[in-house]
Amino acid sequence: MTQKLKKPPLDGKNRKEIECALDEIEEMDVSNPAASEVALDNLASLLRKLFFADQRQYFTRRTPSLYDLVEKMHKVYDLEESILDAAYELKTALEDSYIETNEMTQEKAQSSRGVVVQGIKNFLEAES
Amino acid sequence: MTANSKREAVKTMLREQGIDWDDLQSECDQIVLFGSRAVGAETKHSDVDLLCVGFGRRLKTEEVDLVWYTPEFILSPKWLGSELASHIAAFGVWLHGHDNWSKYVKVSEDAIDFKRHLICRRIAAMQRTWQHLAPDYRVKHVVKLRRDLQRLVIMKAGRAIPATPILDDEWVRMGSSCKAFLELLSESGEPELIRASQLRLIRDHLPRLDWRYEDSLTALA
Repeated sequence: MTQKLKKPPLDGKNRKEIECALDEIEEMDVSNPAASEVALDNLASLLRKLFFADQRQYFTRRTPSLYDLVEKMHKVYDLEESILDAAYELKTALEDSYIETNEMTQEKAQSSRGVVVQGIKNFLEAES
Repeated sequence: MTANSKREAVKTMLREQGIDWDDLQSECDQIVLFGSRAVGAETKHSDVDLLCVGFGRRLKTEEVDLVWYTPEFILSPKWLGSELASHIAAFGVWLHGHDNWSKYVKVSEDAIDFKRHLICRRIAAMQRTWQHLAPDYRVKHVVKLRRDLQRLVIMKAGRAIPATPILDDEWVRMGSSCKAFLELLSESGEPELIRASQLRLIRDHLPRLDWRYEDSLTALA
């Protein structure tokens, strides 16, 4: 089994930035995939900067999605697998809503969004 | 490339993804190739986009995008007025089954409203998050915004939306600059978008983008 890394320490400014990014996701209109995509990328951009400083070692392509980041955080750090599943659900629900918005995709996006946001909050609060 | 040779190429690509063409065909009334591969504008990174008329579930990976709609939905006003239907009706290649809907397609006001809504909300979200977005994320969303603006202008003109590489070629012909971007905003004829050209994001930040860098990212996409 691969040894998981310890979380790098986050200062108050970094924490604040992540909290703001999580707020943006909590407030995003899931019926609008374009705005939602920006909100998710905002968090992805921050997480990549804070947890994968040497990004080339971890990501083969540019602009990894939030799902890519969560997947890597699950492998490298101690992020729960349920968040990975929820991030995947969220990603697919938003992709679907580009071509068809319906209640089912919105409900799926809303519930998985809640799991992702809470999971990342728990991860940040947990002791290293 | 003929429809037959495209079908063979698609079969091979699907097989590499563990999808058997005969199985897929047996579940669909129609299979239509669309996007860059339908018009021969694909790059080595392009996925295979297929409209499947039947009762399956969407499958989207980096290599394939299977979009499923039921035979009933494909004849509904919602589908026939959609952006995707207008693209497929004009540029799609039927690999299986017979086309029973494309002649009824006309982009609806709802589809134009949806596109307008996507653009306006993307601009607002970019405005709020811009300072935290790394340069590659900024470029990604500027590219998406520009493509959607192009699509909106085309939809409003009553034309079919071409594949993304064709939009990108058109953008290069327009000069790939901030000036061209502002012209697109103006050409959209949308008051809210024309007002957006006064936003700090567009006025101050976009001119600083290296638009050639954007082209190189587009080529990578």
